[in-house]
Amino acid sequence: MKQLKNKRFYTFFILFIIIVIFLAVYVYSIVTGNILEDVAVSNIREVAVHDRNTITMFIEYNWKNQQRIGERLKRNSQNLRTVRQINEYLGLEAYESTFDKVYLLMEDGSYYTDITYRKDSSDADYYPYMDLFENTDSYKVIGYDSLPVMGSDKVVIYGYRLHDNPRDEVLTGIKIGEEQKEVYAVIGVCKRSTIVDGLVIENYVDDSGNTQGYSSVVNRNGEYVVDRKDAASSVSDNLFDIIKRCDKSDLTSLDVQEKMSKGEEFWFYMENNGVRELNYCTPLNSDSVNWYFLMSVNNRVLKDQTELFVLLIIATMSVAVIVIIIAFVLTIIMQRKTQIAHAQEKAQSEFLSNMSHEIRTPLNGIVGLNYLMMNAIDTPEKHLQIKEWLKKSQNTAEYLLALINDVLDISKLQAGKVEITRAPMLVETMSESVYSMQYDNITGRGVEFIKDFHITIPCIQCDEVHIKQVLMNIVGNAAKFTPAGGFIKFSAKQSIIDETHVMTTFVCEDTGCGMSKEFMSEIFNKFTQDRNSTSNSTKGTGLGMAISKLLVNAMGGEISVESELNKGSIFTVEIPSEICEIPDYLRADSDYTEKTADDSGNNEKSMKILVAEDNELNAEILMEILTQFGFIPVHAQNGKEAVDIFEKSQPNEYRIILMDMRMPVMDGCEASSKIRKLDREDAGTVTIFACTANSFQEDRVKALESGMNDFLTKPIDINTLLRKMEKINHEKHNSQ
Amino acid sequence: MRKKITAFLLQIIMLISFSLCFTGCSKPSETVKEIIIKVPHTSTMNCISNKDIKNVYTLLKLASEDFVEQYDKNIKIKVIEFEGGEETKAITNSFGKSDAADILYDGFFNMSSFIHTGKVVPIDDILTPEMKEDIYPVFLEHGQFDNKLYMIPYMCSENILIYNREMLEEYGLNEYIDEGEVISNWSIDDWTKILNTLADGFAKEGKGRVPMMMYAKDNQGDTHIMTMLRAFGGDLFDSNNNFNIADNPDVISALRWLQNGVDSNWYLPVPYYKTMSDNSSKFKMDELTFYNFNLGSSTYSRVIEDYNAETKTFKKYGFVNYPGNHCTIFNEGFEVFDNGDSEKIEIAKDFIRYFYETDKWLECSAGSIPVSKKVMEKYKDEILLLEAFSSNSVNSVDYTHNLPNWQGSENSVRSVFYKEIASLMIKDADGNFAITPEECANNLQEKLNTAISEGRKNSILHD
Repeated sequence: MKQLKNKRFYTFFILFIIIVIFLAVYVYSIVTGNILEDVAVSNIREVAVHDRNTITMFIEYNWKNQQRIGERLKRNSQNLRTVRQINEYLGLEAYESTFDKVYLLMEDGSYYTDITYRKDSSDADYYPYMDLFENTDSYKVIGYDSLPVMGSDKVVIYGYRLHDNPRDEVLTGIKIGEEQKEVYAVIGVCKRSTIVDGLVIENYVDDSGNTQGYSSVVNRNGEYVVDRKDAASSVSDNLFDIIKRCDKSDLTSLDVQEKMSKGEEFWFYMENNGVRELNYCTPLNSDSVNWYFLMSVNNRVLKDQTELFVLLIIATMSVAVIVIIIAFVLTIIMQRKTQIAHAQEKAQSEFLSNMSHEIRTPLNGIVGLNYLMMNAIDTPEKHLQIKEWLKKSQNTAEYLLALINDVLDISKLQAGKVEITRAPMLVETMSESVYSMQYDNITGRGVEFIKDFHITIPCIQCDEVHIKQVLMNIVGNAAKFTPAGGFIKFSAKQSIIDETHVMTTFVCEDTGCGMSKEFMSEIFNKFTQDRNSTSNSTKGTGLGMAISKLLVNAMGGEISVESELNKGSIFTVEIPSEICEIPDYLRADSDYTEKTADDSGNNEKSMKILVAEDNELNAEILMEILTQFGFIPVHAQNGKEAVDIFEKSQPNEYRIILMDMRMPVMDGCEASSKIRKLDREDAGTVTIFACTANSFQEDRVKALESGMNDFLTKPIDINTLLRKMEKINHEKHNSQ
Repeated sequence: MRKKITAFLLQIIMLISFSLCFTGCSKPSETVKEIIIKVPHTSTMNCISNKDIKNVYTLLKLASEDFVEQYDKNIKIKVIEFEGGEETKAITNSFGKSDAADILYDGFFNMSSFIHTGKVVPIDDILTPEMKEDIYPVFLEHGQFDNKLYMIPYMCSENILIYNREMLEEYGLNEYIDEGEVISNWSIDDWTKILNTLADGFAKEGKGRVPMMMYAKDNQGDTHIMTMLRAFGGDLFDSNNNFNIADNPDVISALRWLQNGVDSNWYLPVPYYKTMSDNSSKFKMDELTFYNFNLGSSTYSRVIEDYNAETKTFKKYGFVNYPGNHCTIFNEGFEVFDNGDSEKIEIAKDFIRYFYETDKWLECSAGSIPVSKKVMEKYKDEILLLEAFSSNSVNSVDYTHNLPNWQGSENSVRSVFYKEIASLMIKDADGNFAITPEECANNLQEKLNTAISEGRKNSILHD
């Protein structure tokens, strides 16, 4: 529940961060876009001002040219008499100047061109150029779609009046022609295309080489002097009319007129046929003309510039957001890992603390009992009490052994050193064995112990030792937690998987204290013990169920639990196995019943057993037990001594050798190897059991490779030893 | 864990998606194809069936509006005029740009060079069986290259000279004037006498009148002046279609004759800085005697006014072949360009097919010489001088030979030619001509053949 809440919190937190960042980016992109637009407009202004100055210089230059033409005319006027002479003179002036044509306007309104003389309106194609100067302007520039003398070419005309201009006083009074008329003004004619070519804004050429910006020149009446975009369009267009006709404009035509009349520099957007253009308007900085220079740039250019920048910002921000989120998620993961590590550390610490307590307690008990027994040993009336203390001491030692075995098991399982062996196993016999081993323990507690075995396949290939370990653990737990008056039901049944495989299911049901759901979910984890009041009174390492699960899983099976607090638990173990025939030795084994010291000695009396053990205490205990069971044990303190004793013995004097693995002088493996190599008839037949506290797989392999027959882990379970010895005897009898 | 990773990746994808949306993922708009038709500003016409149509620009504007309205696709057509003689700027310099022409209407002599750029698409598939049957084969042949049709003709013009007969009469040259719808032929001696007589007379009167047109300021002079280089006979080309000028005495004589015209005041002053437009204006002001003429020219309306239908005579104007008794015939029509969009090529072809299959647009060619038999049949009686032009076609000369690099680059034949003719007429400070006719002939041969050679070398034809 807490985890779910945490998950929701993190999800909402991340979404909240994303939303906040997106809102910030959105606002930032708008603000940045506006700033960038201002920057772009500023750039356009720079280009516009530059081009405006160029045009102004171009106009001023042309007027200067006209002034020079006037000066030359003053010098040559005496030679110009006939129309042809004047035509030729003007033709040469045009050839030498920036003009396509040069005309001379006379004071009576007649004019000479490079091809003709037009006297007045009675002449064909006469044009009243005098009208150019009707506003007493000394300078005049105007655009025309066509002039009679220029055919279909669009032109710009520069008018330069020689009169009325103080600086050009010297030019007044120029008289030419047969009638000696006074020259009034010089007129220069340029094709408009020459100016238009210079007005294409190179700064705004796209990747395809297409110009996205154009310049034009209008007078303050809105008339185009030099028109926009292409020379083919008409100069008769009026800017104010275009603004009126357009789809959308920031400024009305009246606004633009007013701004122009005031000589302001301004800009506005105009949209037409889906094309949005920014128009930058700046007055020409010339005293001679009051025109406006217009620069029109497709909004796409500005948009491209700003979008690229905003895109970069947003991409950067997005990467930053992603990095933040990744960092956030990693922090959470790390935090969780740390929490888990802390929890594990805490659990292990608790476990060690428990282990310390669990080991010290029985040891303390054993030490105490020994002390009591030593004090009471000489007091005959205390012998009954001593017997009771001895039983308690043995129980305590067995618990201590189980505890250490569990710790070792979990270590081996964690290290993957537990080998699952596959050998024929009688299911019912094994189940009966578990039942019988736990019977006294359970019924002694006032708990009914019920068995229910339905075994259809008697023999299967499996690891009997580990299955029994698991079942003993489960049933043992049930015994611990089931109060008197309750029952424990241990059942076994089978279902066929296929022709060669069977699923064996063991179920242990009890009416014990049951488990909470939280504990149930953790029961198969390591270092887990339920700390309820009932379990506190029980002894255990808390590793049993974890070991059981690891073992069952290693055997390819599953273990599960159902439980209800204060009502009981049901543990189910399912083991898939291969079906096999019952081997002969198991048929005999099935008849085996556990021996006791009292009844086993008769069969094996007089059998000599060589015990190679360097630890004096262990050797003494083992010798005593073997003696009690009727064997004749002979002690060797190391491997070398064992080899020597065996070498010196009569053939078949020793039937069994119990060989410790780790010994000084010569270890068990080397000793076994040497014994097998001895040149005597029983060197290959004598049974050698490896006896060691090391129960790892490599020790087992090493022992078998050195020639040993089997493996016994310390402390040696005497019943296991006896069963193995009986099995060996049985095999030998059969072979004989 | 996999679910967590998937959810995390989804969050990132969403994040990036949002980012893209913020940056203006715009809904893709429907693309409307725009076809660009270009036509020179100088393409005038005299449309008998619609007097309002004075130039090809207007004709194409009206026709394209009709086409767009009835076409089954959503398209736009933009008709753009460009300055006469600015084909290089309007066509070649626009290749690969958004204002590149999809269709060009122009004279074949201007258009043929573009075939060799590899951009002009063969348009044989435009021709329906009916169109093939209707168009005079000779005109179709003019549009072919390498057995493929690259230019489809619309109307035809025959260039001759028009003269102001009043001026000839004024100076007693009546004997050279033919009455009626006749195109005269005069010998070189006749021409020399007429021009000298007029020039002398005009000089004395001092009004600035001149007898003969001449212009070398721009490339507009190739048609006429190159024809006058044949005034003394002979061909300008050898058997390999290269210019044969330097060792051609007839051409050198013609160059000398033209150069002498400068000293003899035949032309406007400073002829090397005069345009065809200057001469046209001068002629219209009745101050120039001889000027170019064809049925599409702007003076045609004056000719019609001058014509007396009863007597079938002209009062003010007369007609004569160029010195040497030659005329030039040139077709006008369409080319389709490949700008890398096959859909636009198909639309362009659909437009041209529509244009030829729609009578009202096809009939506008009547006024000039129509290439359509049915239009010719319908309007032949209404086209003044049609008979005279038809019978005069035997005097026509092929002045371009469909050679590559005639037009469209700075070193093309047209660009080189006018500059050399201008040099022929320029005088130095001492009043002497800067170059001799022989030097001019050498320069012309070298530069013109270089232009053709480069054109052949760079020629690429569209598949």
